[in-house]
Amino acid sequence: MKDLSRQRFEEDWKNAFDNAEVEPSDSIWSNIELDLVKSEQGSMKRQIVFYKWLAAASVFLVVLLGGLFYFSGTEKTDQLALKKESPDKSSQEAPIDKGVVGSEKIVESNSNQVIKESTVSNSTKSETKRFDPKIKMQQVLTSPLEIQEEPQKEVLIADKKESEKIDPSERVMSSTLASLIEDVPAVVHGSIVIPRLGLPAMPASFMASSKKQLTTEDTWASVGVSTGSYNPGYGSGGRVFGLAASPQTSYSNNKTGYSNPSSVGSARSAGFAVSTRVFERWIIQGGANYINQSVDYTSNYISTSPSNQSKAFVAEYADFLSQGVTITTPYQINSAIEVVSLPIQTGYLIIDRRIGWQLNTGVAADFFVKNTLTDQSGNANRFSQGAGEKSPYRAMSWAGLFGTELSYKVGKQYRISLTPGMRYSVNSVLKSTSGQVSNPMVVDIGFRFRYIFK
Amino acid sequence: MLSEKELIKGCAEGDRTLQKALYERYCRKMMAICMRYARSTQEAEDILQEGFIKVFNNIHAFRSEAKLETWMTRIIINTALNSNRQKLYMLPMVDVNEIQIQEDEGLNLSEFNLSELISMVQSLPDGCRIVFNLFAIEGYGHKEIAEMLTISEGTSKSQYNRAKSLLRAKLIQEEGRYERFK
Repeated sequence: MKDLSRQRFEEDWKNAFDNAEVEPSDSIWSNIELDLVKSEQGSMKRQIVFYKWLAAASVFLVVLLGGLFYFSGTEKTDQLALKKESPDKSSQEAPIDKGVVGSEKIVESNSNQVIKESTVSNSTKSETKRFDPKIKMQQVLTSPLEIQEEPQKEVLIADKKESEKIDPSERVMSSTLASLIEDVPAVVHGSIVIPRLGLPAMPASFMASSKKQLTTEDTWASVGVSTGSYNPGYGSGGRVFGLAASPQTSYSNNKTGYSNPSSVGSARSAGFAVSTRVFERWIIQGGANYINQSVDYTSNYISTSPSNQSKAFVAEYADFLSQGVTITTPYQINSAIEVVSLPIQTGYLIIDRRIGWQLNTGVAADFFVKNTLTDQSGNANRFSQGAGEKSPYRAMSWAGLFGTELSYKVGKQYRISLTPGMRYSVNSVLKSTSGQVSNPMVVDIGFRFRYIFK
Repeated sequence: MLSEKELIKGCAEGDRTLQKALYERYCRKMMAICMRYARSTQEAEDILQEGFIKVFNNIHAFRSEAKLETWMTRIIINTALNSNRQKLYMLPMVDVNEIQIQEDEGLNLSEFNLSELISMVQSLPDGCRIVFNLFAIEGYGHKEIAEMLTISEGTSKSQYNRAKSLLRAKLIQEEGRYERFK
């Protein structure tokens, strides 16, 4: 680094500036601080945008997977039904015990419960049958190849008369299958039995599994956390207060005071819920959540207490506090609202298997706990106030809830789930006397852990 | 008094109080550096502000291999160079052989106070001022300066030589003024 040409001249100048100090103007730190706040807000906004996209992507993924899962099952069955239909494709319904089904069969795989194959039906008729477990279900051996491929099992559905004619080595269909299809009306197409539930044709095995799941999860409790974006939803953007707006406050000069909230903040919540199944796919759930909704303000108000302590201040409090308010240089305030929310929701189970997909909607009674204003520069003291006459916030407000829950069953009694959702306050969280309207909206994504009661 | 380690940790965590403490500790020294590179106090304050924001945004990457003050000084100098980079393209290219380094004459800088010395440096043309600061005060060689400013080594030397001549003239002029008042 040292250059050979360095001489006494350079050394003199270097020594002259060694440990030199010059006092910068006072405003430099304020400007630096403001820039830091802006860059932090930018970073927070990027995080919030990320959460929004995550929530949107989760909803999209859930809908896509659900749709694929639901319709692929239906489509496969429809295709099978068409494929297995007899040359005479028309399906006719016939009353029970009216005709002989002949050698029509259900082919069932023990391992994956997929209808695999059937032999050609002797009958070209399709008939409606009400299955009775007492009717013998005959297992027949079709070809040597299929025998080798056991454990696939073929079951012959026949009426009593036909079954009597079949080889004595026939075996009665397993009680499980018999019980599953008990009393289920069905249309028989060739070798496929289509249950008549008013739904698209489904393989019997699919239904069997579904029914099993539906009956094992009746009541459960869950705990969860969530995070997302919070929009305070003010009726107008920035709030500007002049002298006239607040006669009891004293202003140090004629400047106009203002407090501008950011359009977006962050929300975090934690809570528990208890859910119970009221119908096959309908759920009712309630619980309690602690919610913290945080947003930054740029304010040039500062309140001064009788003991001469300055505290962070925003316009919402202008008509509620008796202490003096001074207008100062703009500074950054974080406003954190804490709420205890009691939601009641109905849920619909779209998919109720190992992977679950549930849509939830409902309302929540939000009980205001407190609001805390923090001067981010640390110059002014923190201001915190709970519900009451002096608070501009309503003690209770209502919020509408909508969300979805994508879950995965772990073991026999647990589920973990992702819960993207949104909540919107249907009435203003601010009192009408504040002169302001605020209908916050939260878009978030959560994680839940569910315990299923036996 | 907070240790340097505590300050660094707090600043990296975004603790505003500790950021302010770091600023308070080093702002005067850094301002003196900015004053040497800038033409005016306003420009120096802009460099200081931008430099400190870079310090706070990058302090999490500070590895304690160098002293914090050295690291901050480097950031402030880089900020000053970036703010002057446009002007450096205008510097004339000079062949190394044409440069004749002048011999020193005895000049006593102790007769001048800091603000007078800063004013002399600030009065130098942009290129001369930057090269003078980097060579004479920071101690960089002409080759390093040439790489830093993307100019030729000859240009760096010629700019420095010019700065030296101008400063000498100013010192003599100021000394003469003092002599008259003595």
